[in-house]
Parts: sequence; structure tokens; C-alpha cells
Amino acid sequence: MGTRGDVVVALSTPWGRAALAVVRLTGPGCEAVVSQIARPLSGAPWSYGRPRRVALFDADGVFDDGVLVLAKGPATVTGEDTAELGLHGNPRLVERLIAAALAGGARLADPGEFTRRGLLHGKLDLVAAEAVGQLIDATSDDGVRLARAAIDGALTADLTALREGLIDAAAELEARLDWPDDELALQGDAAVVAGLQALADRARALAATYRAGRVWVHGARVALVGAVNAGKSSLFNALLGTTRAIVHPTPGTTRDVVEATTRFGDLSVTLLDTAGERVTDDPIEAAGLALARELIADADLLLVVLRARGAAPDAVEAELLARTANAPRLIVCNGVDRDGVVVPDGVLATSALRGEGIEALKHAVANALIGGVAADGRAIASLRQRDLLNTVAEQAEDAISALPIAGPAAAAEAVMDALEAIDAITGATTREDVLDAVFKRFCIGK
Amino acid sequence: MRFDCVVVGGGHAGCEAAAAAARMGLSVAMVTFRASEIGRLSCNPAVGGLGKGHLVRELDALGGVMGRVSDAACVQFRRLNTRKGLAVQASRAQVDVHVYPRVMQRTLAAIPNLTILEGEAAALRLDAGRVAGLDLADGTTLHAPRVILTTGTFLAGVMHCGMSTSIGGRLGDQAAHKLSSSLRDVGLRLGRLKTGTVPRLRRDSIAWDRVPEQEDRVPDGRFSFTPTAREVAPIPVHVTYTNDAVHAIIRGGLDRSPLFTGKIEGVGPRYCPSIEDKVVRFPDRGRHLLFLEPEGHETDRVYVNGLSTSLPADVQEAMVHAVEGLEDAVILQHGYAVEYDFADPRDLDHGLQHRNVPGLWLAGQVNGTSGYEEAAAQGLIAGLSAALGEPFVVGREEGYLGVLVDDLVSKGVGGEPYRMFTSRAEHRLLLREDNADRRLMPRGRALGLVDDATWGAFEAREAAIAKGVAWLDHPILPTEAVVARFGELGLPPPRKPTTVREVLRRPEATWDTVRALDPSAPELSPEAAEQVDIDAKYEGYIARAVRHADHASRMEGVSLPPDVEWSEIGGLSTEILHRLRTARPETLGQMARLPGITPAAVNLVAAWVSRRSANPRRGPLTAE
Repeated sequence: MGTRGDVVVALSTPWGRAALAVVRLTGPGCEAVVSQIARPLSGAPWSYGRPRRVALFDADGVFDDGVLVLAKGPATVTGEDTAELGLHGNPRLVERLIAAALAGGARLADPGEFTRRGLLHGKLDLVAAEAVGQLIDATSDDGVRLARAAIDGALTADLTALREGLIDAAAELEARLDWPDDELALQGDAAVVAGLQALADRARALAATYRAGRVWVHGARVALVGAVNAGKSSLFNALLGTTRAIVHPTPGTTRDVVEATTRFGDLSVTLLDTAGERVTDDPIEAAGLALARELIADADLLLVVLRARGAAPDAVEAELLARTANAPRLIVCNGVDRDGVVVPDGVLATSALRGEGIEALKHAVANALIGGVAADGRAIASLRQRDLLNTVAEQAEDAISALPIAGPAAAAEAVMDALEAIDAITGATTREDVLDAVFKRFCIGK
Repeated sequence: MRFDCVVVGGGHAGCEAAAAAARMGLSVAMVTFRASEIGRLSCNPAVGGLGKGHLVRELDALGGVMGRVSDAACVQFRRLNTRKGLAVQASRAQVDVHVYPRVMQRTLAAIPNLTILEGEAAALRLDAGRVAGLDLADGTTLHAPRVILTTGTFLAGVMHCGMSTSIGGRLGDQAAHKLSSSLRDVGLRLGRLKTGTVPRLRRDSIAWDRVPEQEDRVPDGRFSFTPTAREVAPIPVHVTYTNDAVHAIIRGGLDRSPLFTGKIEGVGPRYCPSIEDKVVRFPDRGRHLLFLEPEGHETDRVYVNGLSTSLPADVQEAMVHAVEGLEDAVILQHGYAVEYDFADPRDLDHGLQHRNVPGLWLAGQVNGTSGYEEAAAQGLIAGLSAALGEPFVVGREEGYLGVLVDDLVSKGVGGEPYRMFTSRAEHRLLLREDNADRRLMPRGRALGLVDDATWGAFEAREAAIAKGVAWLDHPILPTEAVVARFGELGLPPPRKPTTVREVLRRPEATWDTVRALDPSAPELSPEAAEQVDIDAKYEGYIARAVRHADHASRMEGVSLPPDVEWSEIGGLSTEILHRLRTARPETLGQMARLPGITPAAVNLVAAWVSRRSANPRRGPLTAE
């Protein structure tokens, strides 16, 4: 997996008809494989670093012409010799070229193998490698920005600062072990403890940016939930700016989940309109309700839509409010254009009919999704990174609690675990199986 | 003359090596300049200390001699670091410098198979690249297939006191120059180090009533797991401090210090630095601690621990007299620095045998270490390995002995004499002084080096510990009587039913507390009770330490083929390839600890090994 020193080949552009397709090869001896599938159109031999027009051929003869760029390792993204072949974007031509490369001694690349080889050769760290995936996936400008910053090393710099702080703490603890108190000017325990707590807080604060980072990169799923006839579908259509769901005064009109993706400012938001809550005997409606509840659990944000009325929420709504109390949610009262409607405190008022409060609601949704992270702030977009950052915080706090009970040696061991978690984030000590898990999410050819 | 094994040198490494090899059944000759100097404490009159006390206890658990000899010669025993958690507590014994060598010589004389020869080793005798014996300077040849070199600082030793220089390993001793060039001839890579000594004062010239006596004494403390009677009466140690006047005098003499004028070519110890080093390096510190350690009952010499120096005699006089309590002190011997050759230990295997000279082991200061305990530890490992015919390996998670040897052979001494520290060990919570026997005595017993009485006591203690540990889940119910007893012991009483384990977890509780609350709890010896107490109190921390140690053992369990061609593993940089070819690591763990080896490189090699072992016939990757 990925560590083999052989030549791999993959299509790096989307599969299908297009003006151009790019096929990449990497590995020692890459040029030998290329020489069996391409030859220069002019008589002069090719050289590294300069694009050359080439004829592409296989056992049946020349089938296309294209452009070859050969690059000499280790000054390449993979750290090995690489070749990029641009040809016409016809899947049949791409198939023939890859088959010819396989016949010439290459093998198909594993997902993410190009980036992974770069990682192994120290061309980038795991944080940057993950960011390459995020850059490709990013659904918003902010997602592109944070992926780009991580590739450029901004996140690594944050982690390095954390790491250095932990090493200082470890050194301070180690010094307590081997120096008699009089021999060395040591900080008091209070200073070490304060330093460790500050590091734990920083790690936890960075971990807390995950929600925003994930929304920036992957977009958000926002589910509208509420009792039957609360006006979820009208609100859904109003938020989309188009009539996508059927709106009808008959309670229980929406039975299935209706899904549509739109943009709230820079954010990509997938809205889910769900079946209204009520006690029902209808098996189809009941199935729709069950599905809605599953989606509620997965959503990044719930819009709990209350029926506009003069009185307090009824039993169904009260139960729904109680059930979603711990989920990230906004409570909306739709239909405030009607007479005598009372909007409780902390509840957003909208009128889908008149288009009132819709922009404010979009703003509120975006704010709720991005949380307290400033628009230009650093964020992480990897669940793996978030979990490891939380481990860093927990271990640093373990060290604090160990110090008075079991002494500096036990505290130092906890700090070592915190350091190990940091190193696992950057890939310095990441085990092979974790690397497999990270890279399997990559597209082939990256 | 013909022997199974020749040990060159009668210092601490030589004593352990000769004793271990002879007790394992080899006929052993120990060659030394003077038999009366065997086991001499040429530096400070103390054994143990931080990181070092652990080594002495581990040696003892494996049947070494240093612990028992120290206990017999002990004049004061201390526990250090008692406020820093159990892992790093260490013992230090002040010993009588005349009694110690006498007990050591008596101990060695009682070992059958061990012959002591006075003479100077001149050259190593080789036969077809293998050790065949040793030539002495007087022309005698000792034939032996095994030679253990423990020559300390004697290899090409040079002494400096101020600007004057003389040849010798220690004051009053000859230097082994012939042997040094012989070792170069057989291909040993020699480097140069220096070490310092302190001035010795006349006891009756010190104003003892103006310097306070040292605290933290443990009247019945001992290193050995085998009870050994003290043969000497206690002697107190006193402390005093340097001051600004002393520091000014030192600064005034720096231009005549061989250390600062570049006269000494070797690299000095950073960890027990000379006083001129300390004054220059820590200019903000107004004073440095000095211990006034009497060397014994039969001498009036007092060792001034903390005042290592090579300044000229007149500067030493002035600075000593500026110290509180030492105004009228008479200096019997001035401090001096010794420069000497050491052999690069990276050429040794984990049994301390030279990789290119089969039959040659090196142990002690000759390998670039500092300290009696470090020397003794290596002597034992070399002696056992020579007798076993294969390296006697102690794992890093098993003992400081293992940390010491592994550091030496895989990392080398790094430019200054190697000294043991608690911080060098990764698994300190497991490698405690209190459990050295639990970690290593079964191995010592298997070698036949632990006597029946000591082993019997060990087994009895293990049984008692098991009984105590089994009692940890015993309930303690908050009955009126129990609550009252909590009150009598000054402990907050529990509100609901609890267990012995929970009670013991309170920092102030001990097994005595448990017995007071629950008279049916088994009665345990203090040594067994301590282990049960540690088990309960530090459970979580020890569990973490065990997890780390298990991970390390797994790395250690992955052996790397001896014939591996590293370049077959794709992706290793030229620099890493060079380091691997030079160091020849035998396991993944050893590889990971080499300087300059990146974790990514370890991952690559780990993956390569696992693929290779999954399908051994596949061979190198490039052939796939």
C-alpha cells in the first residue's frame, strides 16, 4: 500500500467526455514506462521539465497525440519521478493509454497514492495532505481558503506551536526528576500547571472550530421539522426561492423527505423538508416520520417550525421541542402574517407568504452553523483532527491532575501522550492503518 | 596461563564482570595494577543517587555485588526526591572509602574460579580476528577466548591541575598507554573525554558547628534485597554554600583553568559540571550547594561534593577559604581534571561485545560513561554475556540496566561522559527502586545467581503482595464503628459502602489504615504493604505506563533481518540509509531510537517488515 517503490498510473481528471484528460504516472523508472506509451512527435528526445508534444501508442499503433511533462524527483509533489500526459478527453482513448501503461509495467494507483507518496517523502505533512482532499471537496470560498491555508502550513504552524509548548512542559517536568531542588532554578508547579492548562484550552478551542470548518468544506445539512401544517414546506420553498415542495392546507401533505441544495451567502446548504409530526395510522406517513427522525439526528442544524397561533405550543410541539433541546437548532414561527399571532421570545418570525424574515433567517442559519469562528479565522475540517485535538487537551489535563498525586514522572507520561496525539495529527507518527483510512477517502489520481 | 575469561581492571565494572563470569562457572583472571586497589572509590565516597540507586538495586536483583558491599560499608543512607512521586525516588549511601574496597576484595576472594593477578595489560592477543588472550607488560601471556576490558580512565590518562600536567589515570596511579595503542591497532575507535575531581579537606580544620547537618536520613536504609549488616558506625554529612566572594575568586582564576584555556582536549561532563563551569554558566545564581562528605573512619579526608575543579592550587585555596565554615580548612589534595581515551560504544552489541572483535567485551568508564554505578551495571552485563555466550539483554521497559546499555550501543555517549538519569528512561513509573527485585530477580534466579534465602524471601513477599492485592476489593461498610475509626485516624468518613482500594487511594492512607479499619485484613510486611499501596494508589498511572511499555516491547519484538539491504525499502532518504547501514539496528525499536531517524522512516520499515513476514518468499519489493 502506497509505500511500494513501483510506478503507478491513474487518470487525474473526471471520467467522461471532455476537451482534455490528464493521466499521471509516478515512481522510480517512470520514464521507462512512458517510453513504451509515448514518443516525441519531432525527432529530438524529450527532457525533464519541458513540455513535449508526443504521439501516444499501444500494440495496435498510434491512437492519439498529446502533451507530456516529465519531472525529475525528488523535486516533485510525490518526491519521485513523475509524468503528466494530456490527451483528448475521450474515455476510450484514456482506457487505451492506461492499458498501455499497465502493459508497460505500471500498476493502477490506489486512492490518494500520489499525495501519500509525497507524504512519505516528506513533501508535505498529513495535515496538508488532508487539506489537498478538502481543497478538492470545498463547497465554499471559506472552505477553499481554509484548505489552502492548511496546505500552505498555517494549521501545521498552530500545531507546531502547541507541540513546542508541550515539549517545554515535558522538559520542565523532566528537569524536576534529575535535579536536586537547589541545583536548578525551576518554575513552581503553578507555572507548569498554568502552561499546560493554556495548551489544553488552545487545543480544545481549535477542536471546536471543526463544526465551522466542516460546513465550509462540505456544506451543511439543515432539516425543517415541526408539527403537521406548521408551514415547513412554504418556508422550505421560500428559503430556496423556488417552488420545490408541494404546499397545501391539508395536514400531512409532505410525506417523504424533500431535499434541495442552495447557497446562503457563501455557504452551501442542503435543506431537508420533512413529514410533519402527528400521530398517524397511515403506514406511508409513519415511514416518512421515522425517516425524518433519522435525518434529524444527522443534520448540522434543525429549523424547528412552530405553528403560528395565539396560544402556547400544543402537546406535539412541546414534545418536539423537548426532544430536540440538545440538538443545534433554531426555532422559527412561520405565518406571522396572520392575525393575532404571538411570537415567543427567542423565536424567529417569518412569513413565507410575504417573504418577510427570510433573509434574516438565512443569516441566523449561517451564524448558527459557523458558530463563534471569525470569518477569517483558522478552522479544521477533519473529524480525525478534532478527535486528536481533544485527546491533546484531555492528556494535558491528565498531566495536571497527575502532578500532585503521582509526581512529575506520571505527569510527563501524560504530556508524552499529548505529544503523540499532536504527532498523529501531522502524520509524524501516524500508524499505517490510520494512513490507509485517511487516504482511502481520496479520489484516485490525486 | 590459561583461563576461560580475563577481566582487565579492578574497578567497579571489573568487580561485577569478574564476579558474574566466575559465579556463572567460568575460570576468571582479574588483571589489575595493584590488588589492594580493587573496588576503590576513586571519586566521591557515595553510592547511588538519582537514576543510579535504581541501577544498584537492579544489579542486586541479578546477583551483583555492589549493593551488598555498599550496605556493609554504609555510614549514612538517604532517600532523595521523596516529594516528587514514587517513580523517581532514589537511594544514596554515604560509604567509608576504606571499608568499601576491603569488603569488595573479601567478597571477590570468596568466589571460587576467580584469580587475581597484579600486572599491566600491554596488548590484546588475537587469533584469526578472535580474541585469544592478553599479553602483560612483564612478558606473561594469559590465554583466554574472552577478554573483558574495564580500564576506566586509565587509557592514555593525563591529569591537569592548573597549568601543570602529568601522566596517570588517577592521582597516584599509572596510566595504561601501551594498551591504548594496542586497542587502536585492533580497530577500536577511541575518543577523548575528561572528568574532574574535587579538593579534599582535613576533617579537623572544618568549623562543623557552623555548617548544618544534612536531613532526609533513613537509619536502616539499604540497597540489597539480601539483608547485610553494616560494618561501620554512622558519620553525618554537613552542607554549606558558595557565595559571591567565592565566585569572584573563581572568575579571577579562569585564565589559568585548563578547561577555559583549551588545555583539556576532551569534552567535560555537563551534568556534574566543575564549579568554574557552574559559575560561568549560571551567573545569576548567588550560591551553589556543597556537601561536606567525610571519606571514612580511617581517614581525616573530607570530600567537598559540588566543588569539582581544575583551577590552580592557589585559586583553590582562596576559594575554599571564602566558603562559610571552611575559612581555616586545610586542603589535603587539590582538585584536578583527568583526560582519558574511551572506546566508542556504538561498536558494541547489546551484551557489550565488540562487533568486529569477537571475544572482546568492554564495560565501564572505558565506554565513555561516568559513575561507579554505571560502570558496575555494564560490568555485570558484560560478565553475564561472556559467560552465556550470547548477549544478556535487559529491555528498556525492564530496567535502567537496559536503558543504559541500549543508549550506549545505539546512541553512543554524545560528546560527554554518559551518566544515568531518571529522564533517560521512558518507563519510569514501572522502573522503580522499590520493585527492582520484582522486575529482575526471577531472571537472576534463573541464572543461578540469587541464593536460596534471598529467593525464599522474595517468594514470600510475592505471596503476601498477592494476598493484599486480592483484598483490595474487600468492602468497607460505613457502620457506626467504622465511621468512628475513620474519625480516630483523622480521615473523612465515607457516606456509602466503599472498598479497601478506594480507602488506599486517599493520599494519606496506608495499609496500616486499612488494618485499623478492617482488622480482618491480612497482616503484611512493610515491603509487601508498600507494593499493595502503590498498586491501589497509582493504578491508573501504572496502567498508562504499562500501555506505553507494551507498545515499546512490540517495536522491540519486530526484528530486522541482519542482511537487510535498506535501499530495497523504497522511500528512505540517503541520510537515513547511511545511518541505518552504520548503526545496524537489530529491532524496529532500536531503529526508532537512533538519532536522525524519522517516524515516517520507521513506518516505512515497519510496513516493509510486515509485508515481508506475511509473504517471505516475495523478497525485496522492487522484485514485485
